[in-house]
Amino acid sequence: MSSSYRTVQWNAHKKIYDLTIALAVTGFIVGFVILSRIFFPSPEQISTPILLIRACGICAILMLHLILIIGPLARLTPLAAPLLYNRRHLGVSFFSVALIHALLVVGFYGGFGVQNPLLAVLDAPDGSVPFEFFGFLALIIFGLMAATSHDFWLANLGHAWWKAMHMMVYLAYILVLAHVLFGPLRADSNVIPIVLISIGAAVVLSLHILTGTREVLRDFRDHAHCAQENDQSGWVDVCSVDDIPPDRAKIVQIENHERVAVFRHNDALSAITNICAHQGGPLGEGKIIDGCVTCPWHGYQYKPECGQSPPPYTEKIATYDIRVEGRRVLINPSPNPPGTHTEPASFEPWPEDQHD
Amino acid sequence: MISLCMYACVIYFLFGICFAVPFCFLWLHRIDTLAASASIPFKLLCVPGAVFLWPVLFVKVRHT
Ligand code: HEM
Ligand code: FES
Repeated sequence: MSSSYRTVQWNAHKKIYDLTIALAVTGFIVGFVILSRIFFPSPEQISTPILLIRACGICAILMLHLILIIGPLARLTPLAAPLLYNRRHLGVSFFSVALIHALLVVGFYGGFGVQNPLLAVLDAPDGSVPFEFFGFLALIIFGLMAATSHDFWLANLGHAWWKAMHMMVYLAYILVLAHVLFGPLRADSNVIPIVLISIGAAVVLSLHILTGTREVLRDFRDHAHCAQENDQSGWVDVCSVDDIPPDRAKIVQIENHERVAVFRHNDALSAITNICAHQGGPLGEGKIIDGCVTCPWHGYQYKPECGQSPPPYTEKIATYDIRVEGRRVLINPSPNPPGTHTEPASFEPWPEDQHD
Repeated sequence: MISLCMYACVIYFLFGICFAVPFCFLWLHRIDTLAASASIPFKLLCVPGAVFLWPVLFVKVRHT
């Protein structure tokens, strides 16, 4: 969180995360080269730089798939949340591996002629598909995303711009598929890599369709629900207190399609916007840690009763007035300005809640 | 066609570098006051982003 900018926001968890990435990437590349030497010892041995080019290319495409499925996967199962937590560092590491792949190609395939090495690699012979050029365009997009991944850029470009820029990852993914299918795999008589790539693309596509459909259905259901429950004073009946586990939230949708996270903490309820001030993460999918709502995406924290980050941080999010009648939870659908204190609505826990 | 794209990219990024270095070390605070007290490594980290987005930043700096 920001009181001023820090170069890299490391904490113990993120260090473990980054160390794991570094070990996995190095292990994969070294393992790939060694196993290729052992299992495919041909008389005209493939040289080590070519093996390294292939190892980095394959490692990069595996990392790209992981990055693309983390988002939808985290919506389906909380088990994927630890991967999501530092996805940004995974993205920058992926770019570094793809860049090494490209630099090795330019140095090794392009470096020996009289022509400019980059042009030598990118210019396809007449009539053939310029697959390297697809890789080049993808790499530029990934480079743009990696270079602007710091919060500084998010704050200064605005959320809409930043998000639009990062949506280009899907275009880049298609370019990478074209790079691989028209390039090394076209001449290859072995069908296994093509099958693997197709399975990868099918998994990415189906996970996105599945989670997208679920969101639309949930919005539709919540919307129908809240329209019925609207009372005369304008407050909206959103759920029962028993729907919310301790230190967790229920995400509800109110009339204007806004999503609100209703958090339960110390037998009282508070309502805040579901949208994190950082990158729009779903706060209601997070939990309360040390008395603060903690975003599941990168761990920004907010006090539930006022929507402010604990000092010295300065982020603020909108709060909603809330009250409990019997066991029903009612919310005033007009949001308060970010950082406004609202009185948490207390309720009687069931006797069994008190025993454990 | 490909070489044309290449030369366009090279020219764009060369302009980018010429703008990004002074921007990150001298003018960062003009678009974001929080960056006034930022460290040298942070400013260095901003250089690649500024190389990509120099036209946008150029307009922003001129308006401050
Ligand atoms: C400037 C950018 C790039 C250039 C010039 C380039 C060039 C190449 C070349 C020449 C090959 C064939 C290597 C061989 O089999 O001998 C290749 C393979 C490959 N590239 Fe790229 N590439 C670029 C970017 C990327 C990116 C961004 C990815 C992304 C994930 C990628 C993934 C792959 C993969 C998976 C292979 C297949 C490796 C194999 O042969 O099994 N490349 N690339
Ligand atoms: S902490 Fe990054 S989106 Fe919430």
